[in-house]
Amino acid sequence: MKIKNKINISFITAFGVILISVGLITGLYATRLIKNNIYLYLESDSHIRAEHIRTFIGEQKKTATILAAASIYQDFLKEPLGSEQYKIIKDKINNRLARTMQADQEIYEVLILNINGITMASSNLESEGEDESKDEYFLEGKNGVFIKDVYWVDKGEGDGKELTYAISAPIKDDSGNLLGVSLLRYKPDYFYKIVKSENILGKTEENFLINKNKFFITPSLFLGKEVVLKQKVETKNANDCFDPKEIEYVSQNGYFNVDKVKGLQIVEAQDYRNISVIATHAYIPETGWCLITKVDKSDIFSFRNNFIIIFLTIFIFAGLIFSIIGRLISRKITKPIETLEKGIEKIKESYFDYKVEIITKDEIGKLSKAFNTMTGVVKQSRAEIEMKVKEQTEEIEEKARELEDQKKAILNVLEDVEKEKSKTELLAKDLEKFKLAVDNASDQVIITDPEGIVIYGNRAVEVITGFKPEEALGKKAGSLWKTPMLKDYYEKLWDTIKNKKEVFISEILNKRKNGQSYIANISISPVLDTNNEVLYFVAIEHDITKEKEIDKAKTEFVSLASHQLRTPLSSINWYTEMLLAGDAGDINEEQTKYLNEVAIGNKRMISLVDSLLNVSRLDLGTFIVELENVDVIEMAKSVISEMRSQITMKNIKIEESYGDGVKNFNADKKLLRMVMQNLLSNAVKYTSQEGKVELNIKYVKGGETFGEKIMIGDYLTFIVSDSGIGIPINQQNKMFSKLFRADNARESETEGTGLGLYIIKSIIDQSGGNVWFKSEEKKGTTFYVIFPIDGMKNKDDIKK
Amino acid sequence: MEKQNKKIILVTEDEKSLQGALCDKLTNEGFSVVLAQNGVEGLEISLNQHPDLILLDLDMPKLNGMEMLRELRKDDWGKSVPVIILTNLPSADETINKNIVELEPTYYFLKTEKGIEEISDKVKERLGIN
Repeated sequence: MKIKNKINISFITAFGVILISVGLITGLYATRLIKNNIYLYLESDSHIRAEHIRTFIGEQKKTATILAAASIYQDFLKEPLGSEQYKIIKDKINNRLARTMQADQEIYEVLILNINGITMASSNLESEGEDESKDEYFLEGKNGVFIKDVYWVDKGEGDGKELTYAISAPIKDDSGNLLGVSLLRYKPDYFYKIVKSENILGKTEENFLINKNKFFITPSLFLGKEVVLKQKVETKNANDCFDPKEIEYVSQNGYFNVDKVKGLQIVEAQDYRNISVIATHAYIPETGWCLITKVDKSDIFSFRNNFIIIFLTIFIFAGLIFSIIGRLISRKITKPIETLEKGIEKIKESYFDYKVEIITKDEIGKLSKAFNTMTGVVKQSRAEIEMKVKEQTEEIEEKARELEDQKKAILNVLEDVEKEKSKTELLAKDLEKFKLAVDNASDQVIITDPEGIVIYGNRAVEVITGFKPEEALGKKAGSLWKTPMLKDYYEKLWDTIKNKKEVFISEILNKRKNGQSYIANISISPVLDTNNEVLYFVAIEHDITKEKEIDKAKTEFVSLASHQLRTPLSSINWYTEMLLAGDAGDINEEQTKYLNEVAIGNKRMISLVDSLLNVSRLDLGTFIVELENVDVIEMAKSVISEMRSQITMKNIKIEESYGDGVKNFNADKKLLRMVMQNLLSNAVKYTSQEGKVELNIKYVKGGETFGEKIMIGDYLTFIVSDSGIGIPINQQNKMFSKLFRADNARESETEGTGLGLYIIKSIIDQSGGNVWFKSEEKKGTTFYVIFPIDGMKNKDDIKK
Repeated sequence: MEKQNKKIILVTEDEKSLQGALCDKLTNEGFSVVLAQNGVEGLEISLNQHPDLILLDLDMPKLNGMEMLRELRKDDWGKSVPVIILTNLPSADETINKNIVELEPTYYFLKTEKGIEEISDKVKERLGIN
């Protein structure tokens, strides 16, 4: 509900409450007040009138008494009829009576009755002589002043009847002897006057008198004269009036505090018309009458009702004014609020520049100021929010676009995935096989995360190290079996696999769970993802203890062979030498010849043993490659000069040619020498008399052709060609095999181990070079050897 | 000839036949030859008798040639005595190769390669004898 209405309603309610309360109270009070006043008024009015009547009657009684006491009356009555005096006195009496009549308009008739009740004199001459002796006013008047109640009397002259009442008083002489009765008949008009109300209370205010028989003796206001002595008043009020106690009281004390006798005399009852009245009564002891004073209730309360209506009207009027005032006030108060309300509406419509115009200094004014401030803030924050929203919306739209793209991509991917799914299922089966294979491989396979924490180990882990693969999970690789590692080695390992992301291969010494040491060949390979970041490391460890033992055995064999085979050969060598030198005495020609045979045979043996050992060492890889700057030309010349004797003997022509810049070459002296020796010695050996051997050493660049092959790098090349027996085509593929000698070679020269070419091929291959030949039987052979231009390589280099 | 003027050659060699050949030859050439059967003997004799040159076999029982030479080189006298290694073990062998450089033998000869005359000449040359 609006405040305005609230205020209005409050006002009206307040007013209404006040109105009703006051109205009720006033109404009640007024009623009581009115009642009381009316009661009071009625009572006093009644009493006053009653007193008036009593006084009046009292006066009349007095008059009657005085009159009765008039001496003339006595004289009259004493005077006998017919006397002279009688007439004179009678005239006097008549005058007296006439005067009395004139004096009081109320008197209807004045009479003098004699002791017998005969009317001796009257203001009405016609009454003279009437016998009133039966009338109570005579009978009672004889004793004292007597008031005869109202009664009808003939008007005379046939005028109908009249109401009258009479007061009689005894006429007594000075001795107190009764002479007669004075009688006054009155008109009750004066009573009419007395009882006539002034209508102070209302039009229905009425006073009337009833006699002891409860007959109207004054007319009714409502029913008129007809009721007089005809209608009785049988009402509570009337009955109360004739209550003996009250009669007694009033007779003695009058009306003062008469309500002490029986309570309030005022009654609210039905009157003779059966209409509710408020009535009271007053007993007139002198006449035994009752004065009834009454007023209709409706009349009274009409007064009250009028009063209330006026009151209400005033109130309503006041109420209207009140509500108007209330409206004005409420409007005054609520107007700013409405303004504020309007402001809020405006803001709802996002009209932020609206300023509430309220100038009052009261709370509403402050509120409006705050409101304006708030609007400003709201406006600003709205602007900020809108900006933010705009930004966000743009972001969201952007994101939505991205999402759309992603969605498309994902859909594509999903398509592919679907395709891949079946592949994957097959793959999974393969992977199972692989997993089984890896699980059961004899080599130890460990997979770690990029930090070296073990995430998988196969069964061989237990076989080799004695530790279960589960024991290694989650730990740093090698920590479980405490691989002893030097700091440098450790750093090199990690540098290779993590930074260079290359495979690290090495031999390491490890310890099994039982403490036993073993040697293993390890290779640690980084597994990279598409961004070239390390996903895992795969470490494969091959227990080469046995191999090492075999190696060791081989090495031992070699040394054994060296020693055991060579020792007797050395011995034979030296002793035959000393024999041939004559250290043991002179020897003859034949002895010399035989000893020479022995020496030659021994030398062959030594040579074979050397070759065998070389082969073994090459196979074992126990050869140390010591690279140094070698003058290849000098070495070539040296090798040739070694064979001088043979060359001269066979008269072979040696042609040497050396390319530009050929001089120093990074090589292992002994190995290079072996190559040269073998090739040149072969060339010489298998070339017959007058033959030719050519040696060429030169550099060849990448892209050039050499030995009918296109070089893919820069090389130092050797060509050794001869005009010898050549190699049969069907045996050319076996030339580099161990212990192989071609048939024609064996036929031409029994001496030969069949190991030479194997040895040099081994050396050349291990040095990073290559060797091949071209040969035609009986024509000659050309051997081609190439070495990388930056030198012979170490076997380690080659492995890289 | 007075024995004091003869150069003393220590021949450390476990093979009897080879011992004999070397001893005969060197004696013929005018040297005083002392024999050792193994590295332990060799070391002991070296440190006691301070030979002028040692012919050292490598493959010997008890203490091999390399170890003996290593021990010898720790000695104040021993670190500079000329030692010719006479062996059938190839120098190109990894284990041997490492040590040869640091142990500083004068020569490394294979018995099968070098004639006895040649050896004797090298000894003479090393000791400054013609």
